[in-house]
Amino acid sequence: MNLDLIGIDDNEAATRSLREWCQQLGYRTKDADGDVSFVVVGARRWIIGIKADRNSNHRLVATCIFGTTPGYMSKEEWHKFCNDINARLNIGKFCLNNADMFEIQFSLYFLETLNPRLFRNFLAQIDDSMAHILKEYRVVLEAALE
Amino acid sequence: MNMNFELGDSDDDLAAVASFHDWAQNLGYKTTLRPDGKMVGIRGRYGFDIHFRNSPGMKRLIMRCYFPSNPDRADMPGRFALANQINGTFNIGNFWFDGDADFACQFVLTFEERLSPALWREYFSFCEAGVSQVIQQHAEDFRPFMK
Repeated sequence: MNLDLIGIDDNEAATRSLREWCQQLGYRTKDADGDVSFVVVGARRWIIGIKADRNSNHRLVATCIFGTTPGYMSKEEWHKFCNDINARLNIGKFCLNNADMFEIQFSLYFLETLNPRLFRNFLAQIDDSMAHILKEYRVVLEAALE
Repeated sequence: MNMNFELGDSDDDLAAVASFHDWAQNLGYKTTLRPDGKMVGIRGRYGFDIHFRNSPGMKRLIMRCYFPSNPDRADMPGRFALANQINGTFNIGNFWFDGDADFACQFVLTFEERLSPALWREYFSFCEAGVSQVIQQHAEDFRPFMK
């Protein structure tokens, strides 16, 4: 039941294979807006895609995006907030993106194949991490996120 | 011969650091076990510090390197904006300015019980290339802040 990406160096083909594989594992998926990625619907809606490489190493990139409340924090405050979370936690990356959305991203790096256990553990871990972050920064995020 | 780095179901982070030090050295990497045993220094194109966060069935190897910037802290908002811009552009790791105003780069490799030499070598090269790419692409943006 492994996801086998041997010889695939095309992001779109790799992501399509990943989506089919996720569905076979029982995950519910949806189309994502605008690009080759897709959404895994679980505790969170993770936008998932693969950055494939011709050397047969691949990166699964999972992103969760939150709308922000205009004016609650200035850009300067958001930048400091994201900088401080990046410094404190060692589980993912945090930024205010170009569309002024709060973006959280995790990566899973692997070679030719990905096994279901590692993928399930990874998704569970990033769900847990997200819950932890939202709890720890509740005062700021509840007010700042739409 | 099995050259994998095997952690089994251990969640002992310090034991993992010590084992990794020996394993990476056997693979030909220049490594230093820090005196407190919490990290391994590994020397490549850059000097990285490595530590672990392990749980049964899921291990995380966390790699960091730092670049000193000008300690004059008057322009910290500019540095935070730059770190945010870099995090928004790249999806290879995460980046920030720390309490000493050093620019920090962090990469996290998640794996199960074992790490193969092939995966480790590819990952380490990927991280080195990632740091180089960030530095080169943002050389002009860094200039006002660096020593």
